[in-house]
Amino acid sequence: MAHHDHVHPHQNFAKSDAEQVDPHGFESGHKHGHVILPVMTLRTVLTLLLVLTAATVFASRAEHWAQQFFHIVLPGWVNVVVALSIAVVKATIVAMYFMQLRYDNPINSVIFLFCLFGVILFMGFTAMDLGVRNRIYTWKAGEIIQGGTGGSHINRYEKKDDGTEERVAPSQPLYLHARNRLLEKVGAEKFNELEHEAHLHAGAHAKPDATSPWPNMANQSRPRSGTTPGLFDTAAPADSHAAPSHSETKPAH
Amino acid sequence: MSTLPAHSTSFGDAPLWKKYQAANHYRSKEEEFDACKLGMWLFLTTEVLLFAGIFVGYAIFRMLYPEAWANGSAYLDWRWGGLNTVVLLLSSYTMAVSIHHAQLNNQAALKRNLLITVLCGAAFIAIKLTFEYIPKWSAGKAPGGSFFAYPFATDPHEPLWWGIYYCGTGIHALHVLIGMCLIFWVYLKARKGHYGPHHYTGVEVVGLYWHLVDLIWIFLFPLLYLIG
Repeated sequence: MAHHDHVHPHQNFAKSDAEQVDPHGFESGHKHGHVILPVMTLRTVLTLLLVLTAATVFASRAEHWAQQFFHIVLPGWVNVVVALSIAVVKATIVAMYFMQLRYDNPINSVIFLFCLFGVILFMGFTAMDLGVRNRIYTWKAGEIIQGGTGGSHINRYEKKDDGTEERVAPSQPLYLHARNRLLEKVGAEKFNELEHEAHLHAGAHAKPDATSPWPNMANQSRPRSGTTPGLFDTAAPADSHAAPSHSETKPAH
Repeated sequence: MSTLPAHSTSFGDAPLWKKYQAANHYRSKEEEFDACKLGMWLFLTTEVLLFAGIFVGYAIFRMLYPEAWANGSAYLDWRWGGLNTVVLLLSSYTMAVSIHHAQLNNQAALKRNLLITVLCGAAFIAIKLTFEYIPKWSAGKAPGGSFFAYPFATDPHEPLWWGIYYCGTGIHALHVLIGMCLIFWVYLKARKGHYGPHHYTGVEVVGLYWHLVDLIWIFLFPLLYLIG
């Protein structure tokens, strides 16, 4: 390699010299974004965009004509879907050819797509909220029932006049719903039997076992004390205007 | 041992694009070009998100007040919106073509296409003002608050529609104006010979901005003019 030390600076480099000055190959193999698009391609893209513009206008006009002359009423979402689909196709063509993302360093496409993911997120959550409110409102309209209705788990359907079924909010508390469900299932006699049996063994109706070191404590409330003095006091809080009782922690007046 | 070629500055009367050297903190013009484009794309994402806010606002109010949106859309004439779409698409085409000519060192075609692009932008603004903004605003079709004064509105939420309309198209028109200024600046630099096969970063990056403006209009046009 010694003879390389004497290479004249203006002399053309041999390959080994090029590797010496550019060991990581930064100067080579780095041709992103330097594609020369033929004018013919650009013209084709422009024509396509103009045709798609005409198509989207025609689609929306066709909806009006169908309504006006043939009394065909298309649902509103048809035109929205058609118009926005064409817009997405047009935008993709612009981004790929005019903005050259197709030939560009892929990182630029990744950045752009990630941003569009954000846009979809905004739109999606907005639609998720507003799109279902008509369903939510009937549920929210029910009066507040203590213990909750378990609304989202109990499906009740009522037949409407047109024969379709509509999901309606449950009108009774969850515990009554559970009770009535068993009552319907087993009949009154069996139900009473089961209820009697259940009350013998559990809950507030069971007799505390005096011999157990862990008495049944359901429905019992006991005063507690913890690390913060007075935090769990069951007595009414001291009148704030009264003289402080913890005089040792506060300066005397 | 120095085997690096000396940076030649002895181009004499060579055009500026031939003399161009990348800034010191880049290894090469290639790397500088890529970095500039990456930066531009990052900026464009913030632009997309800016308009996304407006589009989400549009979607919310459309879902809440569909009648007002149908009325509002019917007030707009799709022919002006369509004409402006064609104008913007043409300008996007001439912008892409000017990059093509910069790459091939067709200086006259580069300058011509940049100028056409600026003129298309001007035509867009002129059509918007003459046939849309001015007649509508003077008829009272203006955003709510102290501006709305249209006496024949049939839906209480129509002032809101005009708010979204002017906000969306107004911020877009502002971008058209800024883009026109930038392209004219690129045109002035092109006249001095700054852009050519080795160096056309300015044309490329401003072009990206201009195409994004076109991209936004591709969505604004159907949303405002076509779907009622």
